[in-house]
Amino acid sequence: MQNKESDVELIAQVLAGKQGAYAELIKRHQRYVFTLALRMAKNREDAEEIAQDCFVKAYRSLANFEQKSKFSTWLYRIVFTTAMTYLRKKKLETDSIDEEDTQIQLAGAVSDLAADCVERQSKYVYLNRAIGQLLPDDAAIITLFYQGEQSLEEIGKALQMEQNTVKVKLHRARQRLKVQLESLLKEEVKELI
Amino acid sequence: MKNIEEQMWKYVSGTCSAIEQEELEQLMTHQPEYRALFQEISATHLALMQLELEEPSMSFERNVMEQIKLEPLPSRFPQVDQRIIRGIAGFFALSILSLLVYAFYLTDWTQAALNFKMPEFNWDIHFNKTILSAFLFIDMILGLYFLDYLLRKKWQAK
Repeated sequence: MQNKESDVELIAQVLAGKQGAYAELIKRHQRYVFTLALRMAKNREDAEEIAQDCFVKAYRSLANFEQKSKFSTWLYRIVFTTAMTYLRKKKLETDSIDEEDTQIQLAGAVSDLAADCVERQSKYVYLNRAIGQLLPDDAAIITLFYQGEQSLEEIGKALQMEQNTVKVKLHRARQRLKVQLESLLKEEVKELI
Repeated sequence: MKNIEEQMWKYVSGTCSAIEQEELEQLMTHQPEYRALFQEISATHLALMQLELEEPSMSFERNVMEQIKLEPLPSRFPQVDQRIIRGIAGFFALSILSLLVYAFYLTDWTQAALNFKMPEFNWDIHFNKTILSAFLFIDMILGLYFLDYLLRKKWQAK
């Protein structure tokens, strides 16, 4: 991720009327935003819609970004609230999802590479699948902490929670992730037997 | 064990205190089960850190930029609420109506066949110099506000 100043400079350019500078901000953050949206929505089409909506919303309120936090933290807050509203509207089942067709659609499939590569890939596939089976807010916390490069304090700001609440939620999310991983691996072993 | 597990997670993600860190290191050195737990948590932590980000579609950036082109430039000034515009319009409509009523009042109805006479009304009480000045002042403020709105809209459209 680029440093804060660079984001701030781009924002200043956008506010000065250079709309094109926003494209650079999109390029820089689209993968993080999309991953977070996907982890919450569990569906690529919905995630794309949420992510697009977030960038438009962020653009509209760009002048209100007070630079008290990182731009990414501010943006993730928009992603979280937009995704939650979207999920509520769609009345999606937020409990653990077991059906294969509703599982998170992974971008990277296991390819027929060397054995160690396959092993490594499958580890990530299982991990991704386990995250996909978590509740949206658990998935969001895990994603923000491990992939969004956000501290506990920043996650608190993004999710509008106290830092201690985030700590507890993160721990619970990890425990649930472990349970999901174990369950997935058990199923795999059963299939092999 | 659960508490230890929580501390282990904090340890691998570097969020535990120096005292906790030392305690855990002691435990791991002397008890193989904690060492095994640490290795398990450490492996999961590493895998989570190495997870790749998902890619949106190729047209994602273009789609967002197309939507943004339709948006006005972001501004610190809030967009003027439609209710304010309607309020101003209502105020002017009411003013025109009042003037019309006043004009009708001044009309000499006795010349017509109608023998109608408006009831006595002391306009001097209600339309004195102060009221008129205040009325013109409010008009001027509203006019400037509306002019500012129009100019800003025109500037944003460029």
